Amino acid sequence: MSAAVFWSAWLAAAWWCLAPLLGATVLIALNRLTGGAWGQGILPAAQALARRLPRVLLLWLPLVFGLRALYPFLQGPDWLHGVERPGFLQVWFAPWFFVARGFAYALAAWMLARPAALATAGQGRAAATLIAYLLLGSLAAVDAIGGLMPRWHSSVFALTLLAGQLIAGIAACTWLSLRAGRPLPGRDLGNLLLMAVMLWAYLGFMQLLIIWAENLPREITWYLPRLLGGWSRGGVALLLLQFVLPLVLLLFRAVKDHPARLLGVAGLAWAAQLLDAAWQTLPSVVPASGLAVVLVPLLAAPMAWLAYGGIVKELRHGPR
Amino acid sequence: MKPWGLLAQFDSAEALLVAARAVHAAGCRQAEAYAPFDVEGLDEALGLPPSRIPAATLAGAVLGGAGGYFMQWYAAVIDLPLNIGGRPEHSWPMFIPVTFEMTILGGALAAVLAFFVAARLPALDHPVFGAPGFEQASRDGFFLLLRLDDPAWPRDEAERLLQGLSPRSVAPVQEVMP
Repeated sequence: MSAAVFWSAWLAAAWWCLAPLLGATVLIALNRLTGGAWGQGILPAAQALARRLPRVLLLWLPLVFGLRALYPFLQGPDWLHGVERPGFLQVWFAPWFFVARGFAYALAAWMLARPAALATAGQGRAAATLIAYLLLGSLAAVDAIGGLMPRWHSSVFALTLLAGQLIAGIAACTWLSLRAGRPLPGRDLGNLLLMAVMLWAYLGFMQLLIIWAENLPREITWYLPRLLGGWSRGGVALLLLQFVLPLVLLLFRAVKDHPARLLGVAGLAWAAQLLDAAWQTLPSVVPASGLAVVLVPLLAAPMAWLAYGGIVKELRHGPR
Repeated sequence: MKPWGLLAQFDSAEALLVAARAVHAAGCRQAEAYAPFDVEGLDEALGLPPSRIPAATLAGAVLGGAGGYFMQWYAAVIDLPLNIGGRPEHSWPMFIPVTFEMTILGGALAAVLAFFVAARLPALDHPVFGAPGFEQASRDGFFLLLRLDDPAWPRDEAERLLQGLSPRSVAPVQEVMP
């Protein structure tokens, strides 16, 4: 097994583990700002998720050893071959700057998701949290996932990943709360999840549509490994599992008002996020590796257990 | 003259909801409610049969979407195949925006049409239009109408029931003379 296979699977799994935590932080801040019954039900779950940030950051730490295998700009100067004006790329992706940014994002996430900050935040702080999340989260998404193909860029790319984190946050909070037997305003949360799923599909499709319409060689590099070969089926599966199926199911009040069914849809959306993480990550690094595809869930399961294990019990009996 | 119905005005959507539940619980199946906005749960409170508008909307949306996609596919693949930048003639991503718009258009038209049919609109006249203050139903008034053409419901019993729900007012509604 090559280092690229292993570390790209690790990156996908770690990204998937991070998503519900950041999504939950956004939900807490949003609820501070707007209020609403949907927040009361899931707030304990969202706070329990946010409290696990130190564990999730620990899962990211080993990636320091895999950076060279993953990111072309750490493998030597060849990656800039043929770029007309490499000045900005050279500075932005200078190894020390890249690594320093990684630690800065971790520090910022720590500041935003601190339990004390989330528990007592007023409206101003909640608004600041959302703004900081949007800016720093976008940069982090472009660095961590976009950096796998550093010469490709799309201005909506970061937002598609943040929309995925919103899906993960709503789905995870709903799933954990329902598993713990908490009564939830299911219709509200179902509609919220429906909104996030549609937002994700809209942003993702807009990126594809614009790149398809322009059909420029430097832009289609992102889609070539995803639309050709085995990953084209992964894309169809992602479209079905993270858009079509939740969309159709969540249209029905019989699903939203029924806790066991809502639990199923939330679990599906959360699991589909793992496929999304793999789809965003693997084709950029190791497009033809079936082993990486197998490795992602094998790494993700213990990671999720390490990061979030025990939350359901905690929600049932209160924090230890 | 025997009035056609009794119209009670309430102060809030919540009071109307409580009144609708009480009237339904008392066995009245001829009640109608009027509010300036959609009051969540009002149709369940009145015991109305599930609306068929969602089904009509879905049918309109599917028809609009399928029609929109077919129109583009037929134009670009069958009727006038053009090579545009080397892309396939069946260039599906480019068909999605129009398909989406046509889905919304079909759904919206079907919903409005189904609403008019279901509500039997346009109604040029209706007994309730003559009730004093009824125009508030489109501003800030919440009304519950008990029709008295139900023989099982004598007028004084209906009036007693409405008065017991602490309405702002109860007024008789006269039948429209042809």
